[in-house]
Amino acid sequence: MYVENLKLDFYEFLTGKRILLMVHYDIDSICACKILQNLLKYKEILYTLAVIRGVEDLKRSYRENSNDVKYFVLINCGGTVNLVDLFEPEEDAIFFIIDSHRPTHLDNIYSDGQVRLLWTSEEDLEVPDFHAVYRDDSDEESDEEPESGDEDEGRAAKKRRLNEEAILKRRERRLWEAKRFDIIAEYSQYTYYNKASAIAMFKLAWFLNKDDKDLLWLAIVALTEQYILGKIENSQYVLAVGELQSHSNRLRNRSNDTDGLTSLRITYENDLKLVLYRHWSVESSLKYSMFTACKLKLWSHRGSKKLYELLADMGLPLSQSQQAFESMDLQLRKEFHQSIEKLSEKYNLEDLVFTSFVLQYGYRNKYCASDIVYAMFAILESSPKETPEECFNSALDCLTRNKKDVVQKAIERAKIITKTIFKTVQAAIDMKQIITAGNFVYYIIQEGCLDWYMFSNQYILLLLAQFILRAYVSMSRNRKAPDLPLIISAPKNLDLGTCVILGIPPLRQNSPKNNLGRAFEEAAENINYEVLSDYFDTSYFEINIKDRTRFFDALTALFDK
Amino acid sequence: MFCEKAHVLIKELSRNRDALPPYNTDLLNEINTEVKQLITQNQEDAQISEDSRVMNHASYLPTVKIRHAAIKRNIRCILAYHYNRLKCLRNMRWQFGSILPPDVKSNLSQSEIEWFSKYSSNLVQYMRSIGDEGINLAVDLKPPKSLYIEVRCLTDYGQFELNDGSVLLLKENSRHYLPRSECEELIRQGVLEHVV
Repeated sequence: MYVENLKLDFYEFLTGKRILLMVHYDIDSICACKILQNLLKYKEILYTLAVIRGVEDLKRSYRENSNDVKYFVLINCGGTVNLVDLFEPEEDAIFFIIDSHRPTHLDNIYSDGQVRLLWTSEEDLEVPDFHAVYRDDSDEESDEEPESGDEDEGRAAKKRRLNEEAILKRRERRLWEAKRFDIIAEYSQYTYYNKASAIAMFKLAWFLNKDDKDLLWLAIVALTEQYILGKIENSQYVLAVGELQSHSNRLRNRSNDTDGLTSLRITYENDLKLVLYRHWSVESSLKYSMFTACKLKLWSHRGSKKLYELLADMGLPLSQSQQAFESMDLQLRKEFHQSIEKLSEKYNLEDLVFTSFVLQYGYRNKYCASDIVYAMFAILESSPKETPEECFNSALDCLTRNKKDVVQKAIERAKIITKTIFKTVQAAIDMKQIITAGNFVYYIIQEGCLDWYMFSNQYILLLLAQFILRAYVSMSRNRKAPDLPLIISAPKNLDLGTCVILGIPPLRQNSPKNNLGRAFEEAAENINYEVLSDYFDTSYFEINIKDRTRFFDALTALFDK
Repeated sequence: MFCEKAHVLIKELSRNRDALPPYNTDLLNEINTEVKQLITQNQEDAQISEDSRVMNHASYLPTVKIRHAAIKRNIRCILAYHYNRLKCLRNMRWQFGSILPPDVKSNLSQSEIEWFSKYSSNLVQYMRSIGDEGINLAVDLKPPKSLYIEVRCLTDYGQFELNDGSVLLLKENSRHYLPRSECEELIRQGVLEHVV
């Protein structure tokens, strides 16, 4: 069921009730949760916050709290699974879901009030009709009751007719079921993402007239995360950026605080697809960023020569390019954007520029949206020791303005991650570990590999996968290379001996719609493998390491069809 | 040596600055006996010197003076020991409220327990006398800005019942948004942490 009026049926509805916020472990959810927390404060709604990493977490936290709480708000989780089946909730429990994972589970869409979705029906694409997937079976059975008191002859005839009718009915039913199966298969074929949940939450804040620049910034961070991870199409990103830009203009004009020291400014600016260059040196940033590394093939000796050529063309002395961007000569710093844009054509670096936002407060603090996103990746996924809840808490801290040291530390860690990803790609290419298996490419991160624990996490693995696929395509002589999807596998839990498998769609598809999750399921079915997968995004998959070879064989067979 | 035991007592005190170790009855008894002994010796020596003054013998007066200084020092140490314990106990009254945790209570002496209950009742009486309905001085260490605050749970505390009867589960690292008045005490106990 969709909630039509968010203000009345969600926000006002929850007033005075205790709720449980179940927040998925990703940046968009954290931003959305933060906006929602802000809104809940106005109505003094009591809440408890639970961090959800997967389906298991979802079940556990429901079990722990179901006795005390009746209202649940699920952020970026639960939309793609059948909640009623999963929880077997009591009658009076109500679930509000805001989820950017697609496709939404049909039972959630057609639920009669227990599961309520906080978006509009337009945001779910190609939803099958209600009658195509559900049907009332009860009247059928009542038809089949034998009627007594008829004549003997009539009865026999009737019986035959009834039989025929029943056969017809059964046949029809079988047909309908087959059709239903097809319809659902088609509907759930691709996994993809909708617009960030934080943007939806920001809109709610705007309707309630409680929006401000801090909340806008959260929405921007969430959107940028989706862009960096390639969760949404470019066109979607551009549209959303335009929307947020108008909000930022409106909010800027509304406040009359123009003092440089205290005011918070969000400006709409061009950004470069270079990781953290404002907080790093130009050379390192150029070298380790996916975009430039793949275009210039920086992992090779020739590539690094080309990099120096580019720097020379830009008129950037080596000593300048190797020191922190902040300490570069003012003139060079100002001209950096222009000079690299001017050369983008010569070095085949078109699309280097994308539009984004910059947050500025005080004189010293200036962050691009992408800086914050990388910093948050570092917090959420790079520490092997801290528990997810601790990471979650420091990620929440990272978004508050007065915790500058947290951001700084995280940015330093993000640099290490970026370097590690680059080095892994370089090693993979040098050692020719990226293997073509007929109709797909795969790469396996071995257990002993340096910093493997980073890649057992969802998003860093995704970043690596994209990097590898692009690098592979740019290096490969195979003309089919851009049409091949990549499947990457990394160890997940050494004690249990499991590994995570992620598939990303081919480059030429140029759309984040991902049907590899379906392929994984089918392959697992073919080898009769019981699925352990705990992820909401079906393009991630978890299996035992010892079954991996068998699983890949099954996949190869499947793709060859 | 004089006053050695008192010194041990003081050392014990300074080792546990913010905590209450068990009340050291044995050591205190020993110091008491030492003081008593010194007093009897002093009395005897004083008697002898009183008698000998007549006979023009050497006086024991310096010895008596040294012993007296030792007695005074012993008493000072005992007083310091008690005073510091009471100070710590008073802080605990503000920290934990009128009911002490059992592990603290078992470390107290009988008279300390008496003092504590008297102090508590005095405090309650005073708080009741302020204003019409009285005011709880133990809450709101800083002036509150809002009725509700966001808190983070630092330990696995388990079930916690709010004033309105609803129950919530306090698990390590979970976050909650709760009425300030209800969690103030838990914050002081270190179960919750206020998230700013």
